[in-house]
Amino acid sequence: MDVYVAGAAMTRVGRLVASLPDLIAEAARGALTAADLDRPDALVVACMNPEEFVGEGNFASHVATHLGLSRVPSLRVETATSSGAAALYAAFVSVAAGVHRTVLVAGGEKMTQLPTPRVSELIGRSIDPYERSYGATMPALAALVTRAWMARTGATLRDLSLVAVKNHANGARNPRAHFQEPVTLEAVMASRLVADPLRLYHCCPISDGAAAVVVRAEPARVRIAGIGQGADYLALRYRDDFGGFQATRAAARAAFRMAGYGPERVEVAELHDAFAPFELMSMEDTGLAPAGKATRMLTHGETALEGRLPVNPSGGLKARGHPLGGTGLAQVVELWWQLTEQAAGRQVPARVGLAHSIGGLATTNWVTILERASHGGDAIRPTGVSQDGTTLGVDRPGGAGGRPARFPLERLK
Amino acid sequence: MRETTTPGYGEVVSFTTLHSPPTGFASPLHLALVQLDGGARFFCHGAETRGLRLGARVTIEAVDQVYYFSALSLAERAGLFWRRRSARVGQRLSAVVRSGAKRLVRRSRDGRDPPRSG
Repeated sequence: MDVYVAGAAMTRVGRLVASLPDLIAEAARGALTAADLDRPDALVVACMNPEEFVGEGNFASHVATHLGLSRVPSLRVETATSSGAAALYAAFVSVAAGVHRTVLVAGGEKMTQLPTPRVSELIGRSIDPYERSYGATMPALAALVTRAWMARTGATLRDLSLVAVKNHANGARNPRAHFQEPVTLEAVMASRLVADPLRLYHCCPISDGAAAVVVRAEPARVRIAGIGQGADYLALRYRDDFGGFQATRAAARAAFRMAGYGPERVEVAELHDAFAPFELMSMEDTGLAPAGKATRMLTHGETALEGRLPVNPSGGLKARGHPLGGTGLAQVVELWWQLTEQAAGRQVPARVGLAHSIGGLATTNWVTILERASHGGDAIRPTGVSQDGTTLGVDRPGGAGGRPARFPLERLK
Repeated sequence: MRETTTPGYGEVVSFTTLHSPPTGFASPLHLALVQLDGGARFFCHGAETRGLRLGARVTIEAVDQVYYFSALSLAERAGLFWRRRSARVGQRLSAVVRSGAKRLVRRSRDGRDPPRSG
């Protein structure tokens, strides 16, 4: 069964005052309104660590009750920093299997109220315990991977820094972004070292925020064409390949296989740039850029807003912000706005979008492909009634979503 | 699985210097991932990363079950190189020439020696 995105919304991202349940509720109500839905059949909540960040447990039930949906079955999903995408996947499979018709997926995180070393420690819990015992933090492991990738592709510090400059320029056009000021290349390259060669302005901020999406079986303006998950060893030292993420490649293969086409169809992408080099690495891992060519695409302006393949029109994790459990959903919200032409000020022309989310240091990655369903249910052509008279076959011609489908007859009454 | 011993020499797979380590660790903190000649890969601390490059030959040793890497001196590297009996004389000489040529090409392309960290 096809799965559609009927509505999406998100809060502003940044240092926010509201509580985490309030933030998630704000995003959730926005998505329900956009989808013209009062009450979903089910709720999936994405949050990386509400127990430690805000001291709340049983979080799916907590959010459901807070939303006034106490009797709606709810579930919390966690895959470290890709929890938002994983939650979308959980909703997707339940709708695709016909278990639920409408599912609200909402996620977020509240982190700015804790001191930075504590936040770093909590995020560091995603790392292999042995490597953590050596003092490895997320930036340290990211730096190890970055250095190996730079040696293999010849990318320079300037190339990494241009990613941050581009994303801040995009964030300046996004009223929801954490950072809405452009930055200069000089400022990025001169910022203090965090984990050599990564500097402060190559690393995404600590943010509060929430995002939500409504998925349903009934046709809507945007369809989830494919969704895939990839996995890799927890420990960095066991990985085979060091200049990129195997988990992204596996996720992309699975997503494109489900969609039935390849990366050449993608016209806009939201990639997980928790560290600036990850955007370039992920362009290659998802197949959006040929191996070793991502930096050339960046420096030639192909991934800018006005380029051939805009990457991170929202500002990415770097400028839009990274509210952990909410980020995977925030990417889908941005793509939904882009595909439905609601991204005023940073609108790009696109019919197919790709969202890429990294969990931990690439142990559980997701690739989600969204496409504009050019016929949101109107121009379907009946092809005939089944033998036993219970289903009507239809054809949805043209566009990116043209595929045959079957509808149970009583739905058409 | 079979237990095996392997000499503590290997190549640097990657390295970094962490300027904001977790509490309890020295700052800045030097980390490297070392691929031993015997095949295993080790996560190590080090005293410095100056002069370190990907592929550089290092030695690792365990102190209280914590592994440390250190760059080999020129004399140590030369000793290891000539001690490798399996390499033919021709291979050794061409390896020396190749390494020298690589340095010359890098210097002429970048206009200076490749950057060092630390």
